[in-house]
Amino acid sequence: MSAERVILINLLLYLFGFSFLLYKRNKLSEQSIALLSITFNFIGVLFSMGIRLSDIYGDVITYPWFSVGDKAFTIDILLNDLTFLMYFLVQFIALWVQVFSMQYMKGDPSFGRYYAYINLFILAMIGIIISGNLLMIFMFWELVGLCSYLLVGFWYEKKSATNAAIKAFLVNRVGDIGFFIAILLIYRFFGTLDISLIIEKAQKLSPEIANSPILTTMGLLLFCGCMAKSAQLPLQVWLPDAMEGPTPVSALIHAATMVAAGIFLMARVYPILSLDTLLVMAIVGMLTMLFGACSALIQYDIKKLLAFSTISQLGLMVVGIGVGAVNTALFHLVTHAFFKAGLFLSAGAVIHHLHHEQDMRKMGNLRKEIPIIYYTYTICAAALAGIPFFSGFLSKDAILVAAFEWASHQPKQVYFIIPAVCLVVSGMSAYYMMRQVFLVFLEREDNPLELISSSAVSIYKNVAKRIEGIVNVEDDEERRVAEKEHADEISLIDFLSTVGPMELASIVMAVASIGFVFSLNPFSAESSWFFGIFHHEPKSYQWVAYIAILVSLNGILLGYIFTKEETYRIDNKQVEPKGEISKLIFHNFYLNELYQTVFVKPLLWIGPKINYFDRKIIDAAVNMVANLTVIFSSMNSWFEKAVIDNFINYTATTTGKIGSYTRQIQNGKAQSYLITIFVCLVLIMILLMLK
Amino acid sequence: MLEKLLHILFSSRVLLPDILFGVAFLVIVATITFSKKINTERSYILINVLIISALISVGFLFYALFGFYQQYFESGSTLFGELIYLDSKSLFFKILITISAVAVLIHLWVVGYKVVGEFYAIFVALVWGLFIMTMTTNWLMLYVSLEMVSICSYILVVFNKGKTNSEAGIKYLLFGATSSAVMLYGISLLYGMTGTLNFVGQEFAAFLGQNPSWIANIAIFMAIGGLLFKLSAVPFHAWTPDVYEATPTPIVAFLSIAPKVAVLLVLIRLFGSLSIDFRMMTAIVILASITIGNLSALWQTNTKRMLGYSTIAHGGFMLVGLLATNTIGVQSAIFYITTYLFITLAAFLLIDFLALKTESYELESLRGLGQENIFLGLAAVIIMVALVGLPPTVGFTGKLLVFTALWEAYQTSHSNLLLIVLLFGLLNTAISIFYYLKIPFYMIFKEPKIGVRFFHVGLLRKAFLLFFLFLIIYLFLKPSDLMSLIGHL
Repeated sequence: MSAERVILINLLLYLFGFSFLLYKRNKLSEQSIALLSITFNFIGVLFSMGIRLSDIYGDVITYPWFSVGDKAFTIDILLNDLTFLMYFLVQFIALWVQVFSMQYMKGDPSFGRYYAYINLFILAMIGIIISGNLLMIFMFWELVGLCSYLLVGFWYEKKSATNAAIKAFLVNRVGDIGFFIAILLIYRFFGTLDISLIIEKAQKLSPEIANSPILTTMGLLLFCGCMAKSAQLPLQVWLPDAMEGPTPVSALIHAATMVAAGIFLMARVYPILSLDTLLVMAIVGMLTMLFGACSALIQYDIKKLLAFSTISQLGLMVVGIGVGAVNTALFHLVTHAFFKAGLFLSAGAVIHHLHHEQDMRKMGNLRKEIPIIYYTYTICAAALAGIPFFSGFLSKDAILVAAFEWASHQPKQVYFIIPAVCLVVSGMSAYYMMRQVFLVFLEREDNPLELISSSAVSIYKNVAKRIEGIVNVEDDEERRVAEKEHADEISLIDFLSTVGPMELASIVMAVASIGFVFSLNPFSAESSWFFGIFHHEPKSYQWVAYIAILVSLNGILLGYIFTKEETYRIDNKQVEPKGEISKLIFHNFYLNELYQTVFVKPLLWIGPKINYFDRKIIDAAVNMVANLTVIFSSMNSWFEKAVIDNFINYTATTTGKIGSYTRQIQNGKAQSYLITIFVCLVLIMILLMLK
Repeated sequence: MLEKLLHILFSSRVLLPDILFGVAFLVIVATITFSKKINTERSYILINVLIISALISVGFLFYALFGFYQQYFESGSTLFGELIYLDSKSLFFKILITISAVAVLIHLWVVGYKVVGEFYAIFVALVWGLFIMTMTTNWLMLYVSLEMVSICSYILVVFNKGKTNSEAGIKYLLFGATSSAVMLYGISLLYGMTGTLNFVGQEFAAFLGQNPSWIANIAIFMAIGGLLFKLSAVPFHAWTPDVYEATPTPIVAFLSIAPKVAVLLVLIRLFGSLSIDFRMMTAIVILASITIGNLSALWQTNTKRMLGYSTIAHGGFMLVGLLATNTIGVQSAIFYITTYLFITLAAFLLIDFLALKTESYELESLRGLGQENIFLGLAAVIIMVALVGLPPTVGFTGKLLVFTALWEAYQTSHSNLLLIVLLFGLLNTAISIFYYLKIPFYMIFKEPKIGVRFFHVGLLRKAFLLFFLFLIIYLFLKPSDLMSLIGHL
């Protein structure tokens, strides 16, 4: 089977899934809905592996679509390594999110609708990934936005959820305007929307043109789209609010896949970005990650914290592209997708466990209650914090190294601010992850390092006991004693017995966040399989990575100390932290309020005025025209009735009666009918004679 | 003598399908006469199915002959002396008639009309008469077939034995008789002028041309009176609304299309061979039909009556193609009637489906039906839009073609008459929007009187209506499928 057919079948499968589930959403049982949807997704994952084996791999497949005048538009499917990677990634994560949702959404009255939307989302996301031209990307881009809107506002009975959905949608429209203008400009300039052709033409441009204002404008406008979708400053305000949606949705859409679409787009069009655009991107990315990390430092809501951390990590990816390390940024995209999805899913499990309590101050001591989630969460958090042996370390440090390398080639020392900020933010992310783990899982008085080591040791001992027990079956007595000894410890059997769909999904994500999955040498990103496929230049600033480890460890230490101190003065009733700066960063720098005053309020103020103008002046004019028309028509109709109808009836009847009389005659006497015929005949004869 | 006999034998062979049809008529009559149980439910279905399949097979036979004729008789062949003239046009029109007959029988069946056995005999005779009408160029033969059709129609109209039926039937009969009389008078005048009964022959044209134009025109006009009656064109239109209102819908559907199909072919042949300028006469008929039909329809509150007036207007539109007096004009007229066939059958089917629920044909009773059954609501929109002649339906294509043909004729002849007809036709199309769209308007936008109560149309009924809807849309998208067939005629 050729690749395009595989993709087509795959897309149709999701489309069918969407429409079928939506249609039957109230008829099917929850199990059958979930099973059906997961089966489709599983087939999709299998297919996504099949693409790599196909014969026309690494090619653009073009179908004619429609033509306007002599301009033909086509449907392009771009199949390269990036497509394959994302194609697999999206479906893989979606699969586990769906598994997770099975338990998380259990008993929700709109279970079927939820799965239908997820199917539509996967369809749209795959659409973006395989699209080979900008117009198609834009269409699927909008579809993805729609899915995000539907899923954020999934619990539409909640006012806050609807508001968040509308906000996400509107903010995204702002970016899409830029994206759309960029598409028009690109079509004007390159005469095509096919990405591979555009890149081909862009590479032939002389350096002066390639860095000319027109290309910079294009790049910046494209970046506008990325800004909204990937939550970059100043359009990042929608993402924290979008956490109103179900948590698995946050994992799938607002952490792993959709928000990465902006990064994906910039990676696709990278060759046409001018140097100025890249610099702007680096600066915006830097500011975003700084702002996001600052806001994440002191959040109370478990999901909001993760949302801000997502913003910060997306900023890091944008910096990666801005400094020219596209493949490194993509590497981070992949690792981030796994560990952030893992974090969200684990957070979802926590929220589920606590019956929809999201305030971290009310949590704590969950380590014993949900041990599996504790481990998965810790692994994913470690990946995010950039601890060696975990995937986040590899990709994050690769970007850091690239950023230092880039800064050293710049004319001024000032450019070193960007990598420096990255370094600081990496420390900050370690801090807030530590804080979160501490608040959610640990006993408020415990020493985490001890706990982690002791539990690891106890598991080891337990396993050893088990094996011993199997080896010496007769030694029952001793085993019972041993079991008694460890009754209060976590045993492997207990461990496994608590694994449900939610735990399973979290475990898969956690496993995918371990560094060995990506690279056999956990200290060097250079040796990962990722860079084996995607081109990567070895960098000379490897020492930066070791500094980064130090910074991360410091962040963890600080996080532990400060949080421990924070727990003594924790106040559950407090709405916002004390202190002006804390308030500022807690409220995401009051960006929401700023937009409210600068954009929304004037609009709300001017709206009624325009409405008034519209009603009084334009409507009045329209009404006047309408009135004139009515007057004219009534004159006309009078004319018609009095003159034309009379004339017709005159020709129709000898008596020359008008309108209703005709019908009276029609109702009754046959002889008048016949007379009519003859009169008509005679009249027509006269007319013919007169001619 | 031998030659004549051979000719008769040859003619009979070629006319075999029609002759079989006559035999079928006799068989049905015999069955009805000699069997007593014919009125039971089962035999009713049986006979219905039999006739439908017979008609379909006859249609296929015609279609088979169609290819045969194109191959061997480029210009058609005269049979039985000069009484019968058979060419591919006749066959095409016979196929159209067969289609409408089959559709009407299915219509009777799916809606569940109970008819007595005699109905089928009369119906078959009527179809037979129409077949003969499509293959004659002889005034006398034309008159005979026309009477055959008329008499059968009179009987069909009064078949329900209701009071209104009889009234309508009597009116119909009086009108028919009058127009036949006018027609006979016209034919006698023409025979006197030309000395021949064959109206496509060269003698006819030559002799007719010797007379003053207005005398020839008046004679022709009178001679086609009976045809205009069947076409329900002004001034022979007055019977239409009454008959339409009183007669069972399937029969009306048949009467509103099948005779017109046959008559249009006769008119195409007649006008094609005339040596005089007949445009004034046709233009008057067209203008009057379109205007009176549309303006009277504006006032109607009964859907069947409204459709009655609408057929008057459509009768006028059909003639527009003939007014253009060029090949494109004729082709577009054929296209127009073919598409009108589907549209009008669908329209009558629709109002019958609606009447199943409301048991009334009043416009007021349609309130909110579209909300209660969204399929019928959509069907109403499509069909009425098609009747108006707007895209995306084939009604638009048909109107576009006839008016294009007319415009081309105007370009070559610069006759103001054509321009007037063109403008008037367009204006009337605009007027017709008001009353056609009343039906979907009532169905969809008006609130039902007693809340929304959903109801179902059966699957079979739905499928049948869908078939027409499909054709209405499909032929709009690909008119070339039909046009290429017509182009070969």
